This record gives sequence, C-alpha cells and structure tokens, in this order.
Amino acid sequence: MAMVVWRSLFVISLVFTLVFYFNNANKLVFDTSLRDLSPDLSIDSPTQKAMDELTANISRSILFVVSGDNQEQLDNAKVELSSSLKALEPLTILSADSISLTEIINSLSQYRFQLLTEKQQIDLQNKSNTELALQAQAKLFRLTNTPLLSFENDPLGIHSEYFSQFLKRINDDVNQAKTISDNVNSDSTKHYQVIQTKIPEGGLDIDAQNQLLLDINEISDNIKKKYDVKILRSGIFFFAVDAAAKSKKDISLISTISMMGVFLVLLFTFRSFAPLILPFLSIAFGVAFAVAVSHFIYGKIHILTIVFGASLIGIVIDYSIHYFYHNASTDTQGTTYNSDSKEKLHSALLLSLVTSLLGYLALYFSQLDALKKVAVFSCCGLSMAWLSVICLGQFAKTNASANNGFINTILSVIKSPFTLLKPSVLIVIVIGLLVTSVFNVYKLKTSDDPRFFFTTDKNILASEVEVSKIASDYEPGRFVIIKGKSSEELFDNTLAFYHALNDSSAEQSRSTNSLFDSLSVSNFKSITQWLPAPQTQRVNYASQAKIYKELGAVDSLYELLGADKNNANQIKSEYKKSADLILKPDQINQLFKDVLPPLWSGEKDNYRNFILIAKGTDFQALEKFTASLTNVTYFNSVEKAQQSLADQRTSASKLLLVAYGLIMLLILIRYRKLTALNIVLVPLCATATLMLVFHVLGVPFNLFHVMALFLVLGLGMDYGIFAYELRDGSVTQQAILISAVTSLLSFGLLGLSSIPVAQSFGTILFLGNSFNLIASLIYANFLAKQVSRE
Amino acid sequence: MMIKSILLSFVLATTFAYANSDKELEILKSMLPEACFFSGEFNQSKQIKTLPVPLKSNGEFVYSCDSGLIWNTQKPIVESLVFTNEKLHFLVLDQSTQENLDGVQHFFLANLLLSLMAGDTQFIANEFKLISSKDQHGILTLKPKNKMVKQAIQSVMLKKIESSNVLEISITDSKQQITQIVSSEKQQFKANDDFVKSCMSLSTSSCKLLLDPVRISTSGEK
Repeated sequence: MAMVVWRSLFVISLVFTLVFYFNNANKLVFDTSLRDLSPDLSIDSPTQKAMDELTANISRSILFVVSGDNQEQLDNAKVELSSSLKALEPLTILSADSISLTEIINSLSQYRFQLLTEKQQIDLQNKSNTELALQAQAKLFRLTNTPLLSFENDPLGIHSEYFSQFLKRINDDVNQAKTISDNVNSDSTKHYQVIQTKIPEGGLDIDAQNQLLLDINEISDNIKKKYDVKILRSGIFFFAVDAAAKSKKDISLISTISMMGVFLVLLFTFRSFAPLILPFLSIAFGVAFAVAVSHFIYGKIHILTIVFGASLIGIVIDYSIHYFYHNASTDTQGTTYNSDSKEKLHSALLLSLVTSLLGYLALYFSQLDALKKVAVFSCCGLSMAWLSVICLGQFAKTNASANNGFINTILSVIKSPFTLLKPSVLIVIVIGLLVTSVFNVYKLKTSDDPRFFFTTDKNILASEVEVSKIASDYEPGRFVIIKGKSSEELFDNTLAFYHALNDSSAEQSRSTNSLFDSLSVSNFKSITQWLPAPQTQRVNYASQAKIYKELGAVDSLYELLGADKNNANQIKSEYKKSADLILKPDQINQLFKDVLPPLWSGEKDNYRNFILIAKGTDFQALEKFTASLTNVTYFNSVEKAQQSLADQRTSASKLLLVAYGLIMLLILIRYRKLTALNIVLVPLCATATLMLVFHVLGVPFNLFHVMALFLVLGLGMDYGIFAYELRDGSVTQQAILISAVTSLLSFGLLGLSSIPVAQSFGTILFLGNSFNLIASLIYANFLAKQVSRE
Repeated sequence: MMIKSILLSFVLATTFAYANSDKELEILKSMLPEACFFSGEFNQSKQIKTLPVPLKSNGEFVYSCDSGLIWNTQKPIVESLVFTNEKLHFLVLDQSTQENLDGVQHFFLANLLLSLMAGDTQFIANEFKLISSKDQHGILTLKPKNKMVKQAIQSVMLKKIESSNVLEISITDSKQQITQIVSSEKQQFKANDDFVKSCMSLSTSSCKLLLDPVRISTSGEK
C-alpha cells in the first residue's frame, strides 16, 4: 500500500519536473542579489516594507567618482566616461536628461495656488493689490524674467518664481546628498566629478551582470589610459557580482569534487559500474526536482541555494548506499530479499528521511530568506532522491557486493579505540560530556555581526569607502523614522520633530554642556523641507485670494498694462477650482523618483518618513533625544540587524531543544521502547562535543552554526536509526561509514567556500558529522555486541 | 551647485556632438567687446503675446572683468540687476531693498550676459550651437545645447551693427516671448578706479554688492 503512495508521488514529481523544464527551457533565472542575506529587522511591517523599498532603490545605484589633479583632463574624462556608460544598455545615467523641467512644472502647476515662498507670503500680507500689480509689472520688464509658466497662467510671475527657486533648492539638496561634483578641495588640488547611474528595477540576471561589469571595467581602463585620472565606483552591484562569482566557483568546486568523490567511493566499494546508476539517478532527479520547485515558488533560484544544494550530493547518496548495503547483506547472508527485510529497509530509510527533513525544515523557521530557500530546495531534493531510490531500487542491480574486506579494515582501525570503552566507561563519558556542555553553553562566545555575511574584495570595499567620503554627506544605514496614521499627520509629526530639534538647539546654546551638541536642524534632511505643510498650503491658498478675486491684483495688473481683463477669467476660475488641492510629499518623491530614494511611503493608515542624517552627528545623543519623542525612532540598520540575528540565534537554540524533544517523542512512538531513545544520544553527543571544541578554541557561535546543528541532529539520527534498525554488525557500520564519508566530503568542501555563511555551515557540519560518525559507530558496535550476547 | 554641475556636464557632453566651426567662432569673437572695464546704455523691448503693446525700457550698464555687471533699468521702472563673477546675483530696487536672484533662469542668463561682456567665446561655444546667417552678415543665432536650458530659452540672436559698438541681442524664451536689447558701449575705463567711480555714480548700493558680494539673508540683511 505504502509503495503505491511512493510510486504515485514519484510519478507526480517526475511529471512536474518534466513539465517545468519543458516550459522553462532557457528561461531559468539565477538570482545573485544580497538581499536574501539581510535578516528581517525587529521593526513593524509597514516600516520593514518602507525599508525594503528604500533598500531596493538604493541597491540599484552605481556611482562613479572621477578624480584628478588637472581640471581639464578630468572634465574630458568625465564626458567620455559618461557617454560611454550611457551607451551601455542596462545603465541609466542620472543627469539633466533624467530631470525633466517641463514634466516637473506641468505636474506641479496644478498646485501652484498652494505654494508660496516666504517672501511672497510676506508681500501678500503687507502689500495692497496695486502694489502687488506694480511689483509684477516691474518683473515683466526685468531682463532675466524668462518665466517657466506663460503670462496667462501666471500673470504676476509668482508661481514661476516659486518653481524656479524650488528647482534650485531641490537640485542643491540632491547634490548635497550625492555629490560634491567639481568642487576643489582647498587643502589639495584634487578635483572630483561624480556620475550617478541606475540599473533597471528587478536587477540583472547573472550573465547580464557579468557583461556589465566587463564593459564597465573596459571603459574605465580605456579612460584611465587616455587621461590622467582615477576612477572609483560604488554600489551594491559590485558586491553582488563579486559574491556571484565566488558562488559560481564554489558551486563548480563542490559539485565536481563531490560527484567525483562519490563516484570513486561507490566504485571502490561495489567494484562495479552498475550500482552507480541508481545513486546518480537519485542525485539527478533530486536536484532537478529541487530546482524546479524552488524556481516555481520564487520565480528564480538564488545562487547561494545552489551552493548549499551542491552539498546535498553527499546526503542524497546515503539512501542508495543503505539500499545496496542492505541488499548485499541479505545476499551475503544467504537470506532472500523478502518483503519483511524490504519493509524493514524502507522503514529505516523513511525514518532517516524524516529526521533529515526535520533538520532542513528547521532552516525554514529562520528569518533569513536565503536559509528558507535552502530549506525548500534541500527538502525537495532529499524527498525526490529518496522516492527515486525507493521506486527505482527494485530495477537496479540488487546483488552488488561490497568491498567488505578493505572497508572492514578501515572500520577496525577507527573502532580500535572503542574496544577499550566498556559500557560503564561509556556511560560516564556520555554523562560527563552532556553535563560539561550544559555548563559551557552559557559561556560560549557569540557573534551576531551582520557584516560577517559579506567578505568582499578589499579593492571593492576600499573604493566604496572612498566614494562615500567624497560623494555623500549622509550616513548610509542610519535614519530617523517618523510614523503617522495619515500623510497629514506624518507631516505634522515631522514638523514636531524639527521643532523639538530647534528647542534642543536653543537649550544647547544656553548650556554648553548640553547633551545635544551636534543635533542641529541642518543635520537632518527630510523631503518635507521641499514643500509647505498642508496647513501652510491652505493658508497660502487663502492669501492668494487677494490676487485672483474680482478686482484683485490680477485685474489691477491687466489694467496697468492696458490689456483685456477678460483674459484673466480662466486663471481666476482655475483658482476657485483648486481650493481642496494639497501637494503631498509622496507626489514629490514620485516626481523625482529617478534621483531620490523613496523616503516617504505609506498606505491606508500607516505612513513613514525617512529622514537622512548628516555624517558627524552625535548618534548617542540622537538616540536619547528620539527616545523622548513619540512616533519618532532613531534607526541604525547595522545595530538592528545585529539585534535581530541575536534574537534569531537565541530562538533557534530554543527551537533546537524542542526539535530534540519532538524527535525523542517520535522515536518513542515508533519503537515503544525507552532504550530506543539512545539513538538520540548520537547527535546529542556530537553536538555536545562540538560546543566543547568551540568553547576550547574560542570560536564565536553565530546563527548559522545553530542552524547547522539542526542538520547535525538530522544526520546523527540518520546513522543512529540505521544502527538501531539493522543491528547486523559490520554491514550497517560499513554503510554508515561510507554514507558519512560522502557527506563529510560535501560538507568539507562547503567549509572551504569563500562565502562566510556557507563556510560556517560547512565547517560545523563537517565537524558535527565527524562526531556523529564516531558516536554512531560506537552505538552500532554497542548494539552489535548486545545482539551477539543475546 | 547641482545645476551648475548638470549644466557643465551636459554642456561638455554635447561639445563633441555640436562642435562649432571656426567661422562662427570668428564671427562671435568680432561681436564681443575687448575692453576689461566699460559702461554703456541699452534699450529693451519685450513682446508678450497677451499684451497689446511691447514692454519697453531703457537704462545703463557698467562692466568690470574683475567683478561683474550692473544692469540698471531707469525707465519706466528703476531697479538694478547685479551679476557677479562670484556666481551671486542680486536685484536692487533701492538702497534698502535688495534680494538674491536664485532662480534657474537668472543663473543661466547671468552667465550668458557675463560671458558676452567678457568676450568669453569658449563658454558661449560650449553652451550653444552657433549658427551664422546665410543671408545677412554679422548675425549669429545661439541655440542652447543643454536640455534643461532649452526648456527655458529657445534661442539667442546676436547682431553687431557694423562700424559701431552696438550689439543687438534678441532672446526668445520657451513661451515665445521675445526680448530685444540694443546695447551700446559708451565709455571704456583704463583702470579699476575709474570703473569704481562710474559704478558708484550709477548706483551706490548695487556697486557695493558688485564689489563685495555676500548672500543676503531672508531678513534682507547682508
């Protein structure tokens, strides 16, 4: 009955895989973004959403800084670099081209009755209609009066004047945030030019990414040869390409050596090519199914998933090894491969799969997308490989004989120290190990620094730091976040924050010992500074009634110029219709989306405003200052990420204990014997030894180490179950040894990865599984002796 | 600064695409003054579509290659525009009313006027495509290369009256308003001291701003 279920599942999975590849041939997307490695921060979901949008936008930016001693050389180099980069299809150059004056004026002109400069507000308050008309008339005569709006749409020229100043102010701000352009440093004669570019939304696939990097390198090299300049660049893009290149290298290293290693081990063990078909088919089906499901769920497959996936080879192969060993064993012993022994084998294999799945599933409960994807990939791969072995095993050569002699010799060497271990000594050692690890667990060093995720090329990092010094005046990962239930409330809360800042500055001027030394208003840049508050906009509208009412300033001006007053009817009527309009910050953000990240975001009753913080601000003082305000949070992304990782590490550790508890329950239900719980001692002792080793060596424990302990549990249970189920002495021990060797090979290779996350995983799994092997062999030996005694 | 860098970058970017010929550059050079300190007068006429008659005005100007330009309108209104080489520009209505000229178009037109007065052919050739008239000798049309500037100014026409120091400037803006200026050089100064005297006599407060440009605060104080 069970076989019918497994076969149906196998056929369904196979059909799904085939259909997927038939429909997606040449359409597979490989993701290389680093976002999956960023932990979810301990913040509310609207803020997280806003933060994600902000991060996505920022990660599209690529900045080039050209520096040189000779201004003319520098200018020419910049022009050539700019035009060469412009020719590259994926890049958009942000310059005068991307800021369309016409579009901005057209979009904003409907709100012109809500907008006034400070001086215009004063003039409207203090001047009569006639005075305003005379002032407008003088403006018309002025040489530089080339208005941005036509005379009919702005007879007094006040709106044109506002927009002109508005554009200048925004440009100054954009400039301040990003470039120092052609400024000359007074201390040295270094000149700088900045070119800002963007890659398309959604990023680039791995080939396009590599091509773009090649093109950028070629263009930069040519320009550096031609002109006496230095070109620095900055952007997440370069880190992503670097990580992708390293991942690609790791994938080919791990998969090639794993496959070769597995091939050699199997060939050596079975001395025949025929038994290799099933293991390699199970690997192929498992990996193909895992890629298909992952791609189907996420729309793409992350390159880091494949790095971890490559290490699955060593685990997937275990099912075939146990299958063959068990068959070989029944043949050698002269017993027929009857339904009883088959059922026993299937039961052991199923339990082994379940424990491995539990180990990998635990990764899904981490808050890192990268680990979640690894969990999905691995569970699918393991399940499909298992189904392949169960369903196709009967067609494979079942009388493959193992190279027992040689493997037994190796086993004897490994086991020789165990013979000294009497059961009583063993119990003392196990208890001692567990007690020591319980006492040591609180003394373990920990590390939750998110920067650990990325080890980058020194040159990329150096360039990034230098560009940041030159081209940005604001802290990259720190913001003041202001919350509000509506756009208008958020605006008010932002103004309240600035008022509080002003008050603290005043307090500071009274007391030089004030806490808030460097918290001046000018250190904080908000998009709300680019437009009047809603309340002010209403006042501005009301005060312009003086201009557009009947016999108002417009009528006076038309009279003064000897023009037909009826020409003013259109603007007067437009003024009346605009009474309820309010220009909101998100409209400004949308209008300047090419040059501005989404600093203002929100929907329904959740609005967020991200305020940029100038470099050199006293962050400790800022944290204390914002703590006293409602709806205002000082946000440090590195600190938050660190906190989040620490929380995840603690909760994952607790979850590990729960997993041990559940597995013990599962074992009790399955075997209904207390002595069966000894199986759990295999991974438990391996974990305890690992922690002891880490403690002695002073290696700090991180989240990835804890997550890897779930796999140590799964794999340890795997070996323990086989030892318990098939107490046939050396045959089971040989199977465990061969299966552990292939896993250790894969994890050892993963431990050599250049990606710190994969390296952490690989190292701990290599060590953990080595301890699993030793513990399981001791346990298997113990059980075999028990059987022989009986 | 951003506008400046955008303008500059764009101008430089398009220099190669719109390289002006030597002929146009020669014509341009012949139209521009050579002296360093001089004064003159101007007549201006601006045609706005909706208005029945052109807006006519006149006045005087003084220029120093060291400091900049004062464009003093005397009729029918009295005011001075002060364009300094320090890139700070002001509107002076009377001794107590002075304002910064901050808008984009003020910045650009100030640069144009200063470069015309300074005879800075390099700047003009970089900023504009120069087109000489095939029919009439001595007429040069300047078309902005910068996309941003194009949205405010369509073209500038320069016409030099032969055998005189009169230069006609005709600015057509994006709203099709045409401003015509006829400027004539009246007096040249050999030294800066002579220039300062003439400058002070034209408008004391404007001249002080020109010689010592400091941004005016919102309260109107320097």
